[in-house]
Amino acid sequence: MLKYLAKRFFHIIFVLIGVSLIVFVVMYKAGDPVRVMLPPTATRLELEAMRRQLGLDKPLIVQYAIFLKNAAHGNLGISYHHSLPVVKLILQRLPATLELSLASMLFSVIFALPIGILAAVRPYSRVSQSLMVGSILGISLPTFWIGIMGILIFGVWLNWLPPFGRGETVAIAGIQWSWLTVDGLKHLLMPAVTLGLYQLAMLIRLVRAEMCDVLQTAYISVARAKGLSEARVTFKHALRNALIPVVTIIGLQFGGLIAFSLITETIFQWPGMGKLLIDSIAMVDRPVVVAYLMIIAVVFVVINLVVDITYTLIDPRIRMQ
Amino acid sequence: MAQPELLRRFWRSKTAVVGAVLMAGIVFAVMFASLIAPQNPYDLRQIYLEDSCQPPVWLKTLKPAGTTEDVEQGAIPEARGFILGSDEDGRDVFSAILYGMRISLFVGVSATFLSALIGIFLGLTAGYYRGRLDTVIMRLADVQLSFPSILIAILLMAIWGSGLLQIIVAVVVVRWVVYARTIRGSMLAEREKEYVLAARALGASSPAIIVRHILPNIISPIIVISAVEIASVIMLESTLSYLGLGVPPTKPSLGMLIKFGYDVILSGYWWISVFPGIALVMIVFAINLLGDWLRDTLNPNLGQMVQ
Repeated sequence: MLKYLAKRFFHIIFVLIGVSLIVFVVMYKAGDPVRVMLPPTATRLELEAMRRQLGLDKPLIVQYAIFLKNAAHGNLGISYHHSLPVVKLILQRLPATLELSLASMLFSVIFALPIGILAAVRPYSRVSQSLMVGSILGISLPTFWIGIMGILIFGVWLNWLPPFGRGETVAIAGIQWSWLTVDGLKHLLMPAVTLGLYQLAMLIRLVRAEMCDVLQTAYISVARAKGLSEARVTFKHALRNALIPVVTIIGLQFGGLIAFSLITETIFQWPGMGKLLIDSIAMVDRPVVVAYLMIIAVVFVVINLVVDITYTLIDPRIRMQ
Repeated sequence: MAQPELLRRFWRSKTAVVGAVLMAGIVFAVMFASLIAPQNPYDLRQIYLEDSCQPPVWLKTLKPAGTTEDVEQGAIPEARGFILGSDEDGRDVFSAILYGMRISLFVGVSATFLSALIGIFLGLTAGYYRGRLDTVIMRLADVQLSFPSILIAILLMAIWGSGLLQIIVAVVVVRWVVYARTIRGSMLAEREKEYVLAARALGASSPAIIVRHILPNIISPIIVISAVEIASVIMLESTLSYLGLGVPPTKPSLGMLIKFGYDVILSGYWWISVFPGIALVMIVFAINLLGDWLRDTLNPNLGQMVQ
């Protein structure tokens, strides 16, 4: 177990160095940050001075070495635009993104499990079949368009929900959360459903497929032959085994949710880190982009690790290698 | 599977028929866009700024262009009817959708085709020859798959700037992995089979074995992936275009049309973003319906319960 964790830890370091190098080179080509920062009337001398001040006059390899040295001390640079340490800047935005992603995950799981199970247990009923067609429609809806429709219908026409922003927040341990106030929940509902709808449709299909597979196995027939009630067979015997791959996918998809939240955040003006990324790309704020992608990479690797570990906990047949 | 059997199954599946009919309608509309569309949305001579933001004609709240006297004097033509309304520049939304679908489908199909080509080639070679080449290709695939493709595509488009070629290349860069992975998997299973050994014993060269003997046997996963891929590539392209990191504004795809509409949605001009969105959902839905049927039919391991 320890050896396994150590191996994974080295893997993380390796991924981080790779990601930072690629992003560094890529962002080097993406435009001139100095030109965006200074007014268009700035003279060449002013541009040069600014460049020297930011250390951008040095060769790329030297810049990267300085970056790595600072990164080892937990300093990923200072945002050109916000004049704040990027780590602080991103961590400030992280709770909003996490809140949104967790809420949409919760939404999709709560609805996907019963619907998926129903569709597997009664595959021929009209309700299940329309649910399955509905799930195909669900994976065909682009996130950004659902968001726009939500704003239009519930925000503008019906005026039920606030179309933009995060609403009132409450601070717990210095972090602002929306879900603790009624106003915050109202603001959270639409973005969370928008982000979670694709997830919901996909999970319904997955739960149904896994349940169908398990319900065909011999041990289910045995359980039925023993005279167990259908409810007991479904929930106690079948569901537990069907959930193993479902848990994995839910875990792996969480990283995707965090990444995809950048579209939802842009539409609903949700002040998370995805919106920060899109704004920073537009302003060639290189340190923010590099740091964002490194943090996302860490999140992804950590999620993968947690999923692998839970996997072995749920299913003792799988050994760690 | 015999051909008549396949057809019979097709007709029995309502969803597949609906998907096929929808898709046929879309392809027809796209092919004859220039004949069906009331105007050429890119011909500036056919667009009048006075027609800006007209609601759909069936809402019957046509606002007259200019003042009434202007119309009476013939200085400004009377407000024309637009089936699905008009956008800010006075462009017919219906015509823009027809031309936008063409661009969305073009990007979707060509990017999928190219990533299939590259992915299949790499998957076949990696799976057949194994060794260091296999390790390198699959490591690359692993790293790439551990990162959401939308992020990589956004970064690439940020450097390259928007453009048709750029968006196609960016999609290929992020999507070839899907093919390479699956094809390598199928190849690993196939290469141990006896017919491969037999072909080798008869003196067939490796490329000949791969292309003539193995490839035909793994064609069904390729078909199934391709259907799903076209749908997700169209979604990816529209998302990028929505963010302004996709097709150029001179060649607006459905995603970009939705973005144009979103900018004015709070002013009450909802039709500019709603209708292109419906068109986009229709395309993706039709392809997904067909893809779902293909997966159930061509993959004997899945979907036995449904038939």
